[in-house]
Amino acid sequence: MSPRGQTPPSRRVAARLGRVSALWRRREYPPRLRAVRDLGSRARYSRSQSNLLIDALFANLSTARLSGLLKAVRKTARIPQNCVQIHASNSPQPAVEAVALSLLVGCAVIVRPSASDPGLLRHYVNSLRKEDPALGRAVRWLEPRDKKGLRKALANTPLVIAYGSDETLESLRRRLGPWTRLAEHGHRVSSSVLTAEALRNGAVDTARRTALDIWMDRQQGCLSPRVVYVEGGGGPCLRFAEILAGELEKLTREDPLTSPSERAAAGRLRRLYRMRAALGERIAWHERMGQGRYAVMYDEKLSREPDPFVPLCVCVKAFKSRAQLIRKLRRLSGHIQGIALAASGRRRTAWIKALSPLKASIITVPGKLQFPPLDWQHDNKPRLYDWLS
Amino acid sequence: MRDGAARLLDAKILSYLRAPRPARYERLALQLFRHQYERSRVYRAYCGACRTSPDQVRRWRDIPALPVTVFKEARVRSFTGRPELRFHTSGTTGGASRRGTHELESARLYRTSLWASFRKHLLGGVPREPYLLVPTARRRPDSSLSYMASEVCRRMGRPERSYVTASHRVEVRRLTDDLSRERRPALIFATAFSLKIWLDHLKDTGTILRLARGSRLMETGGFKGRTEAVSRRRLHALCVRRLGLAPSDCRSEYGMTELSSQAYARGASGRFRLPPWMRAIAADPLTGRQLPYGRRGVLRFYDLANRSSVMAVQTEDAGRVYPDGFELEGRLSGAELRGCSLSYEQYLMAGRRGDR
Repeated sequence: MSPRGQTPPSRRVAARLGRVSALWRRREYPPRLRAVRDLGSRARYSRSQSNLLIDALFANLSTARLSGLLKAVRKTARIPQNCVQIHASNSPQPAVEAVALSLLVGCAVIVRPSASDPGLLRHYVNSLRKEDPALGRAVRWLEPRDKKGLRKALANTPLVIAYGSDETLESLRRRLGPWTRLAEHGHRVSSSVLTAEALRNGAVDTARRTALDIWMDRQQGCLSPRVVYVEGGGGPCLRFAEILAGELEKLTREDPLTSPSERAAAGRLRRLYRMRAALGERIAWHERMGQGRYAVMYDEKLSREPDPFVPLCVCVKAFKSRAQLIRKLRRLSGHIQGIALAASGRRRTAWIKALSPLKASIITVPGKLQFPPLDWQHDNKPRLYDWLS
Repeated sequence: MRDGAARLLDAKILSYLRAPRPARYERLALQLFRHQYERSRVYRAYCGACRTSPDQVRRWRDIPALPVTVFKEARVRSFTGRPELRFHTSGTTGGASRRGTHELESARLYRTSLWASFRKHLLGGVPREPYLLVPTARRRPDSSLSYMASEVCRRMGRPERSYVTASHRVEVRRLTDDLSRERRPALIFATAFSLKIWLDHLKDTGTILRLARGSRLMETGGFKGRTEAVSRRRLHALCVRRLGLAPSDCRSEYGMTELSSQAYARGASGRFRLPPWMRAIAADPLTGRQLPYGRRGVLRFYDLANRSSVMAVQTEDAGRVYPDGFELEGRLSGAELRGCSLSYEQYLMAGRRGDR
């Protein structure tokens, strides 16, 4: 592949990217060890969290899956010579995937990481340069503070792939010329919806899977459930909140301590929950936030907005009926990335039908939310289609 | 109808407001705390959550400060009858569905407090012509800022000239024309947001006004997530350049719907000065303990004029407190590192847009 890009999509590139991914799947691979260390120190990921993330990410970037994705690229697709990728915030998975997919279709990449990037992207790019210099040369790295470099890159590229908040994307849109296409991915939110039968028949399993969805990205990613909606309220839901706390307890045992500001924010929530309990509301509060781990907050006021978002402070809310919940979630239509739905048989079909107007990018089962397939429709856009169409 | 204890307390507070005697602050604050603890169910529940009661509190700074967010959750009031004034927060940071309410049993304390501070920091004995870049109280009866603007005009004996329409549009041309004809010292009463809109208009039209000597600006309120935010320093610099104001004549106000008193800062880098009946501490967000002067923490205010709700309020603002005032340093945040998930504010805003 030439550093200037424009090589037609090829299975050979998929194989070369797949080879690098295979190296990353090895626990003792030095760049991986460095990435695990940096994810721990910069993003407060535990070793097991980082390993799970890296395993899932590079399993997706295997030769077979990349080749599978290539089938979706039409031969007539217009492949830009190069693209600028602007990664905002701490979202290592989409960043690494975006670089790999651009290379897959033969598009050279100029990467501008976020100032808060926890390092995985940098280690991946460095490993590409080392293991496959030709591929590595097709990636140019811009430091987050290099404003001049970014301005120059934006002026000379036909495609910008950007991740970030509405404000970031809006200001970027204003900076681009009419000939530059912007493929944008804004911030989104996810939820878990757990039906009464799932809580009745498999509360422990559902709680374990939901805890995994929550814990994987410390509730900071667009596929992390912010609110867990449980059907029915009362005893089974209270019990579920308790089991969920138990599962989070197991998962967070090795985690680095949450930051003082996160613990302080959790402390403010704790006092408010105690106050609400004293005022007669049916609520529950389970936590190990004092030790810097997690908190599970349960209440039955669906109309009340969730509490301020604090990482690993999980809001569990009871709802009475499907219609009531859909009404509540409809307000967020267009902002929902994923829904982890625990329902069985015919009820699941009915639920999926009811949830479809919410335009979630992915509806899956609990425990799978953080592991979408490579061809999932990020922000409801088919992978690569948006870049190449 | 106020009960006897409330009437007596009001009289004591009013007398303090008129002739502050710092030695009496603590006693009055503790008396007010007990009064509010006994009458407000919500505050009592919160004190219970903090495991504190009036019997355990000996110093004003140990009075539990109620987080401002509680005003959005519940009715925080220390009286039973009909309120004379009812204000709503803007809801810009908490979403329309989470607008807080502050009810005042009697307007007298509020009016006395706001006028005393305003007169001291903005007027200083010089008559000025008020120009309002906020809606009047008639247009926005639920806004504490509009009430304040109208009350100030009434006390100054000047007409209420507002340049903000019912649809929150700033009438920039009319304001520019009127001010360019004004020969007396003007007093511009503005939110930072509307002020920026006007300054942008002046920039776009290349207009530079030379306001009469002695004119002053009072800006307040910040931007609350609307359009492009600019710092206080930049805003004041623009006012000096475009309006011909002296830097020391640009004043900032710090007020909250949930409080009855305001603090004022002189110039862009000045500290906010509190009236003698309001005190502040910076508390450690993690432990809740008071921090020494100059250390960054969450700001708490103890406002004697806030008799109708609670005197001790914990804000969501971070800052540093000094013997002569405090400095603001933005908002408290729960998370240090963000991912691609919606922030809490974005989440609420998205929900708000979806409601329409």
